[in-house]
Amino acid sequence: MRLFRAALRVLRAPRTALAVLAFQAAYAASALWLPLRFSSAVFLSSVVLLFGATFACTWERTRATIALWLGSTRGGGHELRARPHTAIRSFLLESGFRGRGETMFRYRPAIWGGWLLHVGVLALIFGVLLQQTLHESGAFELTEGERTRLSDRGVVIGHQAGAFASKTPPPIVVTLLAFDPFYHQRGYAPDRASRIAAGGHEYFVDRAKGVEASGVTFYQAIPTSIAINLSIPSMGLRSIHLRRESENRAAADIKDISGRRARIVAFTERPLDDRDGTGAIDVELHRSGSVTRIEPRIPFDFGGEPVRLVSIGRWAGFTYSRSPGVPLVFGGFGLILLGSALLAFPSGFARIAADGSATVYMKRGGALLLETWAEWSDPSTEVAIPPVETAQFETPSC
Amino acid sequence: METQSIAFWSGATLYALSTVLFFLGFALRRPRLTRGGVWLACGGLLPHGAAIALRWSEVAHGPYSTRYEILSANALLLVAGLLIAIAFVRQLESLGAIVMPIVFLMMGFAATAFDVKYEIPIIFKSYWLFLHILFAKAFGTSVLLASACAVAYLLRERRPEEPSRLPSSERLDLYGHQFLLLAFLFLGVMIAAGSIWAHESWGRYWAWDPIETSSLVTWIVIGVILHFRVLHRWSGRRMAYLTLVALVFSIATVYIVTLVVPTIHDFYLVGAR
Repeated sequence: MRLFRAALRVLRAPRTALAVLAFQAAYAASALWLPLRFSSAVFLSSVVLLFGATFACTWERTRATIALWLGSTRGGGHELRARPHTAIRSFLLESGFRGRGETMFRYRPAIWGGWLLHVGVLALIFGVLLQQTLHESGAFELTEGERTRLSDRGVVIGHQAGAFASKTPPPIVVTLLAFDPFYHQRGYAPDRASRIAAGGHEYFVDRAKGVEASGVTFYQAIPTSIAINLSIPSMGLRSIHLRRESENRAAADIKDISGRRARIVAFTERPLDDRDGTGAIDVELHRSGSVTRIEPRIPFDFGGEPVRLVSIGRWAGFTYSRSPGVPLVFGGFGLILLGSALLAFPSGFARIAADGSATVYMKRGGALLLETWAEWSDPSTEVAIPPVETAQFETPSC
Repeated sequence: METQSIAFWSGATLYALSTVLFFLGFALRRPRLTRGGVWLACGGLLPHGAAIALRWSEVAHGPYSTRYEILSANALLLVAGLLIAIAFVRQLESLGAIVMPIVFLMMGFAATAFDVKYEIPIIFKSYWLFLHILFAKAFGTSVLLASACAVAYLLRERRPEEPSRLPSSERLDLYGHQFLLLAFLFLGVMIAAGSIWAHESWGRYWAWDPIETSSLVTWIVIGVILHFRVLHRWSGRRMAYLTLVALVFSIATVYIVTLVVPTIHDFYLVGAR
């Protein structure tokens, strides 16, 4: 218990927070030029330390904030001494304090600003932890008209999953209904856009915004190229996605039905990324040193089966992600911002004494309030005081 | 185009005249001249705002693409920020002598790319991006105003006994702190809106891109500076210098990192062409 208290004392010391923050700033700044990783043990330890320091500080701050909220803080305030012909309550009202009793508050909700900011930091760090351990993402490709199940073997490329996330992609069936690699929206450069179907609904997806479907979010990705669509008797329709090799050539290394290595190459009349289209396309099958020209609808031998080229289209790249920690991350950010916004209001309270003086507890600007009070004159009593003749009052004849 | 050009140059001319009046008002200690500077700056806002609105309507996207669009909008927000601050605290009008020359230089640099126009990438089609950029500009404005307060504080402290058109040191210290708090808030909103935008567009909210990283570093640095005031009661000269440190980090984030490290935030380079 003594050790725990000692640890808490060290964690909540202002120097600890400042040292951790300074270290993180220096580490992140160095990472701009040096090959430092944000997943390194040293950086993650600093995050744990920051969480601990923030927690200890918040714990300590809670009691003080409640006391301030209730107007029961003792000591450390600025005393506004009573002055003749001036009502302290009028001055406080003019300075933004509100309340009818002996305690008046200024921007009372703003008293919670610092506390909310710290709770926000805790939520943010916890949200990032959740997100890192539960997130899942991957990429996949589809040709117009092609339908695929993400959980099928080989469909998702570069699947990434956090420590506690599912290690296999979700069994969602996705169909690409239409794809335009150069879709033009006013004011914006032409870019990819698709119409996809997933979970029984259709969605328009461009690179500006992902779409939510079946518990994951789908995004349009940049990669695209030519797709060769074949009709294979034993397998049905299959789409082969070619990769760009040069301005006018795309190719894919595959295995034919018998398992032999083969290569499909497409040559285009105009550049592959020409917005007006590629022009004529020649397709060849390279296998064991021989080259076969593939003509539309004319069967060719593909490892023992007569296969036909049905169409040539484009495949589109997509990514999907599942981000369960993100709401908490953004919630934490929201609290930080709310706390920061409240902090901009100089909050506090004033306790008025029976003799007309007051003690003011301000988070900021207490000294300035004292200065203003010294120069302030009460507009409601000003008229009642005779202007020059007051000097005669000071030396009464009697 | 012609109207847009006339509106822009009218705004720039009024800002130039305003700069001269602010300078004269400050140097000769003539409040009337300073007041004139305020009114001219107000007058400049109208044609300048119109020039930005006309460009917005012409290119069908906000002022985020070219150097002209970015710097011109930054200058507009800086003038608006200064005038709002003056509306609340009249004593801050002397800051015009520090802020308006910066505005004038920004307008001059922006003018060199006036004819550059681009269709922006489709990923810029997002309300979050609009918020991201708006708050980036608001952050720049607040940190510049905080720094102007810090510079004014240091000037005031050099000859404290002399009567000055500047507010008292205590007030400059407090206003500088308030502006720095706003800068912290605005930078926080900028980072949050940017990461929501990234999540909406790419499914990841953070990628340690150099600009993301340097924004975070600046945010932490401002947080540390605010901690020094709150926890260690630092104020006055030390806080003024620390505010200038925050300004250096901000300038590095907004302008320098983009130019020296490869980043997805390279649209400033588009404007530089």
